[in-house]
Amino acid sequence: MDGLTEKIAAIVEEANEDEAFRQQLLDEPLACLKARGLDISDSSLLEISYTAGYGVFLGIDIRALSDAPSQQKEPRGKDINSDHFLDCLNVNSRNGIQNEQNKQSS
Amino acid sequence: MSTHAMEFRMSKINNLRDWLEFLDRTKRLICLEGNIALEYDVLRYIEHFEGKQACFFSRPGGHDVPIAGGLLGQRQWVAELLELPVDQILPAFQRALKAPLEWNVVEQDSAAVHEVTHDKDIDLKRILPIITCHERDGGPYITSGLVHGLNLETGKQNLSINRLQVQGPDRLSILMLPRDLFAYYQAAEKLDKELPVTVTIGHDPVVELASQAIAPRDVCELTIAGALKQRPIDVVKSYTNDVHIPADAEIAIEGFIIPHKRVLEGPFGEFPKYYTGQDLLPYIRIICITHRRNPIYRVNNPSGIENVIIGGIPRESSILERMQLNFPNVLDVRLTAGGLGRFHLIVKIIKKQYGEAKNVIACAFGCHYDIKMVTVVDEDIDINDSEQIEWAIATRFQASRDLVIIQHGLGSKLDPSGDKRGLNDKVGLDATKYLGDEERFYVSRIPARLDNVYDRLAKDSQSLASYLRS
Repeated sequence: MDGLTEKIAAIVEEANEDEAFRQQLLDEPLACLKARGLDISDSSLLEISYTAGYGVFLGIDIRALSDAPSQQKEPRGKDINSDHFLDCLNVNSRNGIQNEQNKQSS
Repeated sequence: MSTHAMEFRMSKINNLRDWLEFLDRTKRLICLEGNIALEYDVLRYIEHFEGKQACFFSRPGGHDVPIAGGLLGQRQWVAELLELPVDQILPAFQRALKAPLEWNVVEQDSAAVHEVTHDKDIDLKRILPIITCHERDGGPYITSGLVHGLNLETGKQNLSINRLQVQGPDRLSILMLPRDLFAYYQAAEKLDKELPVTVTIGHDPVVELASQAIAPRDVCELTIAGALKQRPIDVVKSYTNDVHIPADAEIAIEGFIIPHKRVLEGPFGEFPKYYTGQDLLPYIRIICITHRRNPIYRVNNPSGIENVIIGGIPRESSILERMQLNFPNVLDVRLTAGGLGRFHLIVKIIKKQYGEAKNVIACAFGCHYDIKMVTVVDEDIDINDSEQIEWAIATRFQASRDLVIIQHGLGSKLDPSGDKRGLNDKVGLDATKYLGDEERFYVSRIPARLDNVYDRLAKDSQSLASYLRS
């Protein structure tokens, strides 16, 4: 995970485990996210909800995030599990050239 | 032709339930009763029986909708499905890619997939028995959803299997590889528009197989399915978008992929049996779910034999096509199950020239970077039989002469034994007979005809019993 994904994962995990924090996130999302290092200017760039049995849903418009990843990313040279995901995307290690054959998709 | 295949000729397969009935009639389906948990247990049963029997769960997790899985357990089953000998599967796939067959549009009223509609208060888990696969997965996933996407620029469609994580009662995150659907999504994002998609679950298995074809952009894989079946696939327009879907599907989830927005996805145990990490992925907003009156939910084991078969056959046909351009004497290829349908390739050739097998090995590595080991065998070897392949290596291969090693080639990053940058070593084995030394490689055989042998079979073991008593 890069830093951004890690931050969001931590926020979602905490919101699912801590009811008080969850309520704070639902009531004041911008302030709550800013306190966790995610500075988002407009709540229309967010989609937050909680459903029992499903947990917290936190959708973020990537245009709101300065270091946001697109779905196709440059490799980040991290552990093998991160590489798994890059391989799923099948992105060439130098310049994002796409390979046509991979895994479960066409 | 097998007994199963002969029976098949009297039993056309047009949808998932036809295939289930066929598997049942041919003793390849077991029914599991009781409240088998959706979290882990359902997949555990499927994995236990896969390759031998398909599974039908009548009330998984106490749910009204049953689950079917393990439906393409062997390559032979695919041959029966296509009404072909096993060795004709790849040529049939190659022909279908060259001559797709347009679909046939039917009225919504006559489409089985539209018998029941949910368009308010969508609740995925209440409507469908969605399973959780592995201990570290981020949650329940739909693993057998065929995603039909609409190209907003051309009006054409694409079909692919994408992993879909349940994110909320009406939200699914979607992993799109950088191929056609992802290109459609990128184009929609540039227009700031939602991408219409419909996810269908539970089909004639030919449609699932065709979904993995390496087809040109805007050639919908449903037309490849039509060519494989030699008749057009019946499709119907979705209720809430313009996407056409198989009318005989069990379940359809209609919605839109939201532009620019992302949600946390993963981890997920992928096909090599290792986990991918978490990342931010696009998601689908569900508008409507339709299904048959008594739908069947289909599960695909993400790291199982079935996944190897469904993903491997289209890839093999592509590799075979490319290799035969350079080596017309390449007869067949197989990506082995042990090699996950990706990493280990067997190539069958008629060797005609000294050293040729090594050129074939080099060509194979060039066909796809995932390939890590290539074994070349002669035309007398059954490449579906791992014992015959090992016999060829045992008797026709000498390492100092027939081994090819390429160090630090580009390989799959999903291979945890490789370099973190995706570099791994390639190995090639020339397990073909030596040219010019035919006498040493003359294979021993028993020249008796089997039909004569079977004429002599006794009805019981009375002769043995009599002899022992004498």
